[in-house]
Amino acid sequence: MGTPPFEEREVAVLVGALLLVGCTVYFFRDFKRVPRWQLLGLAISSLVLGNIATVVEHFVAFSVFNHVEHASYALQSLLLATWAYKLQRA
Amino acid sequence: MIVHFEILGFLAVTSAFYIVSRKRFPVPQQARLPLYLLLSLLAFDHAANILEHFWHAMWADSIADDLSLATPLLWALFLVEIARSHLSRQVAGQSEQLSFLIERVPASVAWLDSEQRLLAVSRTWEKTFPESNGRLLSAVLPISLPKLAQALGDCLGADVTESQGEEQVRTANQRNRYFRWSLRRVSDPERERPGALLILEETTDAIEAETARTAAVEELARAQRAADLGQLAAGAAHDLNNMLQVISSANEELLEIREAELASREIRQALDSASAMTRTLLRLGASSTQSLARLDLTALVTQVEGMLKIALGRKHTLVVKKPSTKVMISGDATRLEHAILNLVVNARDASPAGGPIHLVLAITNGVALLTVKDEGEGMPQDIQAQLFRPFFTTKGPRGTGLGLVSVRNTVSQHGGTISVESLPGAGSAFELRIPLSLES
Repeated sequence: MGTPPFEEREVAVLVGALLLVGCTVYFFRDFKRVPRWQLLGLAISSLVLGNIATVVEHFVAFSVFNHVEHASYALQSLLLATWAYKLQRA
Repeated sequence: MIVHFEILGFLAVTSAFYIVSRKRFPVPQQARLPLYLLLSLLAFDHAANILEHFWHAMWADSIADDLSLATPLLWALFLVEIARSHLSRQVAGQSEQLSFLIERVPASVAWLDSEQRLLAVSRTWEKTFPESNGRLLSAVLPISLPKLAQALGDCLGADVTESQGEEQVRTANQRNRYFRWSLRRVSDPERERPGALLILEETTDAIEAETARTAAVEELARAQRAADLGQLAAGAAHDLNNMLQVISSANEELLEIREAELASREIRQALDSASAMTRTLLRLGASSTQSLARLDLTALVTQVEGMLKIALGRKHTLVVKKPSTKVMISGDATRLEHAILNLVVNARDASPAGGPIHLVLAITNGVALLTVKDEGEGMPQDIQAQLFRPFFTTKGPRGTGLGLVSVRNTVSQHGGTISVESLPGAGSAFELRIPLSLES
């Protein structure tokens, strides 16, 4: 499988995700009001990691970062589902 | 491997979708919308990758890649909405708690501004002082409270941050009213000058109730003291009656002009005892302090023997047993004399004609044991249980029910004990145990 071409929108998504992290850190006091905020924080981190891997895979170790990318997105979805489950049980 | 991640992600997102769509899910509707959109986007992204893997549907992956631009934005929207809704819920909850507190706090609480105008009041304050809001405190209070006015002035003007106090005022109808208050200076960002929080409580009812209770307790104590004195007087009268019986018996002897000199001596002794008893009674009226002195019980028994024989009369015999040595105690001779006489007269009344009465003095286990025993009918258990109860008597109208009470009091004041052993048909024995003094 060859390396797919680099797309600028992947960087745009990464920038958007980093802005999201920045806002979350800036409004951390408010973010902590959300129940089980730790799970959501981890889900956002997974999103950012996936976006970073999406960009990096074009330059080094495509196979490894491609796996990291898809694993991070799957983890993001899992954490979001866990958050919803925990919230419902609380 | 990658497709496994995608399948796992897809299943997780659909599960989350199911959970979020349930009514019980504790997230308000406005926060659910961005969450639905986010989950839909993630589900589509996973599905597109699966489609691409199995059916090479590149178009799906291309759409998903385009849509992924919205992912951070939807995350942000979701976080903002959910944080806002939880903040609103917390504020609403706190507001509700505050309202609940203000509604239910059982005290008159008021918030005053620097001009002593009432800004907000608790429900209790509203009930106590209706239509208070916005008015000056002095116009609201039903009575002038100068100490409170002074403290409030200090709290709002000087460096006093809090104060507490009580105030008693006399109303126009000559009634005393009592108030207790607590003040604390409070600052409000919206006002230049600080205000004050006032808790005001009228304690008139509580203080009047406490005063009435104290008066009732004192009255009860006075009544109890009067009853005690009455009981003492009745006991003394009972003892006096015993003395008079001795005098009466002696007088009968005199009438027969036999042993006149001896009888006269006994009359004198009984009269001396009666006089001492009345003195004791008078002393008791002033104080219950007892004067104990070194006393030889052997000598006391010898001394009262003659009087007891006269009290028993001709129908009964007195059998006395006592040690040849002194039995020293710390005691009151007159009171012990009366106690012995009481027991002997009781034994006489319980004995059939001709029955002997035994008076035995001994030392046992470090105490002086004085036993008065009869050979009468004895007493059942239920009678024994009530023997030392005031006004309990088996003698009918002749008895006062105070003789044994008096004996028990005397023994107690000597640090001793009294017990009774009795069986129906086998007579009764009263045993007085009095501690020996050190020289014994």
